[in-house]
Amino acid sequence: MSEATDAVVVTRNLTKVFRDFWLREKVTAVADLDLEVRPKEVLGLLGPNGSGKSTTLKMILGLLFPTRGRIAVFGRRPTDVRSKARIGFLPEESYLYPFLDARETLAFYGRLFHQPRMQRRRRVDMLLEMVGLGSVAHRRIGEYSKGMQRRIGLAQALINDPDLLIVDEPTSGMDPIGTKQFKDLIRTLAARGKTVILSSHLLADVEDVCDRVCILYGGRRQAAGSVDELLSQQSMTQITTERLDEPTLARVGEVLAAAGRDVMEVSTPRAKLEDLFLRIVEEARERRVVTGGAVAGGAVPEFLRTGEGEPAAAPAGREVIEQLVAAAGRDGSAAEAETPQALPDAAIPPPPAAEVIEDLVAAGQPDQADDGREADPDAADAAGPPSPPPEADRLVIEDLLGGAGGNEEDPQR
Amino acid sequence: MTGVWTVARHTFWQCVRTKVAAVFAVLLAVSLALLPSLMEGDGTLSGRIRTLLDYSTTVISVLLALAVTFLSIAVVSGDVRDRQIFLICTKPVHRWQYILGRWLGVVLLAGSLLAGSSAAVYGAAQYVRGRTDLAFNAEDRRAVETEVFTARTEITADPPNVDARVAERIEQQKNSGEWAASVAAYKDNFNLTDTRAAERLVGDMRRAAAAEMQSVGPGKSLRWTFSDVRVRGEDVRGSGVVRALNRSRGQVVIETSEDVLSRMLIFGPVSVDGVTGRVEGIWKEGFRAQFALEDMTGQQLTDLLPGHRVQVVAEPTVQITYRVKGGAAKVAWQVENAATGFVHYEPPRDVAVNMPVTVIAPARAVDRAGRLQASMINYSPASVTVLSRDVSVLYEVGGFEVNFVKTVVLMLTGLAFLAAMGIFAGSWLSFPVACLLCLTMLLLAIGFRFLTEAIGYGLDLPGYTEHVWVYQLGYLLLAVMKLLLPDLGSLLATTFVVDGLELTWGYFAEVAALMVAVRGAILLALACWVFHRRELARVQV
Repeated sequence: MSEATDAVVVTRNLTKVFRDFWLREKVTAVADLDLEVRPKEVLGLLGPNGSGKSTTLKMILGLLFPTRGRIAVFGRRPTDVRSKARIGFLPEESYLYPFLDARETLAFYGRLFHQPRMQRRRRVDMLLEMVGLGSVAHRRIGEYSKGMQRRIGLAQALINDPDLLIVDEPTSGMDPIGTKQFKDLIRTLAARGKTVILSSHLLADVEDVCDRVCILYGGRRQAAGSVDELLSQQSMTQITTERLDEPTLARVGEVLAAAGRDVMEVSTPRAKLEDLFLRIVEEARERRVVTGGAVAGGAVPEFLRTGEGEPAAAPAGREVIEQLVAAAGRDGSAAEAETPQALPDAAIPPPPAAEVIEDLVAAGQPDQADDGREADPDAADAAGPPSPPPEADRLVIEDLLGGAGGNEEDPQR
Repeated sequence: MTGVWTVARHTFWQCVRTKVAAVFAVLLAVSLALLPSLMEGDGTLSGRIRTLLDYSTTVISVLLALAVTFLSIAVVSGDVRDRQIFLICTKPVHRWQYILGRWLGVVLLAGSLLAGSSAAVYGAAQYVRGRTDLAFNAEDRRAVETEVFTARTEITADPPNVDARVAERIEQQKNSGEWAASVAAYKDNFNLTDTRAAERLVGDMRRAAAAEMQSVGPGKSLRWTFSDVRVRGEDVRGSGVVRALNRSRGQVVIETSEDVLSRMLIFGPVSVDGVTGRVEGIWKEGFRAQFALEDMTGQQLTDLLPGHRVQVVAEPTVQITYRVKGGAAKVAWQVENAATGFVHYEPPRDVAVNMPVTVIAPARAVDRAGRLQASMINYSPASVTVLSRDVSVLYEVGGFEVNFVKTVVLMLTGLAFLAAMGIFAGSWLSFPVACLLCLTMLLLAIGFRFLTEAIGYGLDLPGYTEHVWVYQLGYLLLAVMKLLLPDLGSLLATTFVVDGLELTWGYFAEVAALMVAVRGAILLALACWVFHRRELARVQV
C-alpha cells in the first residue's frame, strides 16, 4: 500500500474485530481508526485498559492483521522488511530470551538488522552503558529484575537507531531513574527528528514528552491534538517566582484586584518526590555504594544523539535558544541549524521574577503582550512560562520550534 | 540469507542452553559409555561389535529423533507462546527466513550431537576390535574384518521359478481331472466363490512349491545362480619362503610380504606356485595354508621343501552367506565358474540353525558375465531348508569408514525431516498438541512397514471377506500416510553398518533425496506459508 503522504504512519478506517473459534464476531477492538503520525513528532496513545491501544500498535507492527481498513508505515505494508528496518519496538513487557545475557541479546537483535560486526559491538557497548547495565552485562536476562529487563528491552529497540520508535507502556516496571532517563531519551530522539509513538497509562509520562496525543476509548478515537491545546487552561494564569514576603504578596494582590482579578491560591511549591529520589540515588552513587542491579545510566549514545557519521547536532537547552536568539538578532532570519522539536524543561530560561512583577504592575494586563495584541497561547506553551523574549526573537523561536510544537491544526480532529 | 543464518545460530545456542538438549546429551553419553561393556552379543568378537553398533546406533537414532521433534516444536511454538516472536518479527526478517533459520538451527544441533555420538560409537567399536585380551579364534577375527569392518555389496540369488512349477502342477491336475475336485473342496471348506476358491488353491500351491524348491534332501544338492557379480580388486602377488611343511597333512607354512598378507583372509583362498589352497592361519610374517593331499603329491608341489622360494598369489574373494532353517545341518559347498570350469570346493562342516555362515571363494569363480553358481550339498541325515532370500553373495567394494559416514548422513537426513515436521506443527499448534501430532506421525513413519505387512497378512486370512472393509480402510489410510510420510525405518541404516553392507549412492539418493528431502521441503514450505498468514499476537480487549 502506498500513501501519497509523507506521514510515517497512516491508518484509514482501521478496524480489528476479534472472532472466536467459530469465527463469530466477539468484540471490536479497534473501529474505523484514522490516524496520521507525521515525521518528527512524538505521539501519545492514551486510553483505559481495553481501549485498543496495543491492538493498534500491533497492527502497525504487522503482528496483527486488520479486519478492515488500511495501514501504511513509511508508505509500505507493515510486514514489509524495508519498513521494519526503520522501526524500533519496545513491547509492554520485555519478551527477551532468558538464557542470553544482555550483551548477547543486543548482539542478536543487531545481527537481525545486518549490522557490521564493529558497528554492532560499538552500539551494544554504548547502549549497555546508556541503560546502566554495563557492569552486569554478563548476567543472563532471566536473572534480571523486571526493571532491568525493561532497560534491555529499551536498548534493543534502539539498536538500529530507528526512525520510528514504537513503545508500549515504556516505563512500566522502571524505577524513577530509568523513567527519567527514558523521557530524556525520547526528548533527545525527538530533537534529532525521530518519530515516536508512545502508548502509556501514565499520563504524566505522556504529558512530559509527547507533542500530540490521541485518546482512544472502545476502540475509537475520542480526542486528538497537541498536548498544549488539550491541556492549557486559557482562562487562568500561574506565576512562579522566588519566595515573596507578605508586603510584596499584598502588593501583588492589590495589583490583581485593580485589574479585576482574584488571587485563587498562594502556596509554596513542593519539590517532586521524583527529584528527591533522584538526588538520593545520585548521592549514593557518588559514595560508590555497591549494587548488583542497575546503576544510573550513562549518557545517550553518540549514535542516538547525532547518528553515526553525521555532524554533531546543535547543543540542546538554554544554549540552543541563546544561539538562535543571537543568530536571529544578527541577521533577522531563522537559523538553518537542525531544529529541536521539543526542548527539555531545562532549556527554558527562568523568568526574572522581579522584572515580571514590575511588568505586570505596569501593564495591569497580564494576558496581553507589550504591543497590546493577543498573546499566542500555543507559542507561549511551546516556549514555557510567560516570560517571552523580545518579540523579534520570540517569533524566530516560534518559527523554529513551531513545526512540532503542536500549533498545527490536527487534520483528523 | 543473513537473516536465516542469524536465526539458525541463535537457535543452535538456544537449544544448547535448553535443559532438554542437555538431558538428551547426558542420556546419549551414558548410553554410549555403558554399551561397550554391557554388550556381549553372541559371545564372539564380531557378535560383540555388531551388537554394540546395532544398539548404540539405535539408541542414538531414537534419542535424537525425540530430541529433534521436541526442540523443533519448542523453538517456534515457544516463541509465539512467550511472545519473543514480537521482537523478532518486528525486525527486518522475513517470516520464511525465521522458519528456515529455526529449522537449520535444529538440524545443526542434531548434526553436532549425531557427529559426536557417532564418533563415540566408532571409537568404541575400534576399541573392542583392538582388544587382545578377548580369546577369540581366527575365524572370529576373520569375521570381524570381512563382515563388519568393511563395506560389501550384497547380491541375492535369482529367485526360484515358482510360477513355472505351479503352472506345471496345475496342468498335471487338469489333465488328471483333479483340478475341479480340488477347487470344489476349497469352495466348500472355506465357503468361497469359484473364483476365490481357485485363487486360494493357487496361492497354497505356490507356497508349497516355494517350500519344496528351497529344501534339499539328504545327499542331494541345491543350486543358486547369482547374476551381475562385479568383484573389484586385483590379485596381489609376491614371493615367499617355505618355513615348515607337513606333506602328509597337506599343510605348509610360508613367510611372505605384508602386502600379500593384507589381502589374505582366514579360510580364504591362496595360490602357491599356481596351486590353490585355503588359508588356515595368518600372523605378522606369514601364513599357514591347507592343500588337498593330491596337490601335495602332484606335479606342482612335489619339489616343495623348507627354505624354497615360492610364488604366492592372494586373490580377491567373494563371500557366500547363508542360514539354514529347521535344524542343525552338515553341508558342503561347491562354487563354479561355468565358463572356465573352475570349481572351488568347501568341505562339509556343521552349521547351527538360523546362524549366518560364510563361505569364501576366489573371485575367479565368477565368470566374465558376472554370473556365479553355488551349490549346497546336504551331508545331513535329514532335509535342510535354505530360503532363497537367506542366500547371498557378498564382496568388498569399499571401506567401513565411508560406509559409516554415509549411514550417519542418512540418519541426519531423517532427523532433518523430523525437524521440518516439528517446525511445521509448531508454526500453527501449541506445544502439547504439536508434540502429540508429531509423535503420532513419528510412530507411524517408523512402523509403516510393519503396519503394511500386518494389514497385508490380514487380507490373507481365511475369513477376511467378512471384515474386508476394515483392511481396505487400513490400506487407504496407509496409502495416504505413505504419500505424506517417509518410511523412517529405512533411514535407520543400522543394518548396513552392522552387517558390513555397502550403503549405495543409489539407495542413499532414493531415501535421502526423494523420500525425505522432498517431503521435508514440502513441510517447510507449508510452515512458511502458515506462519506468513498467521497473526502472531492475540487481540486482548
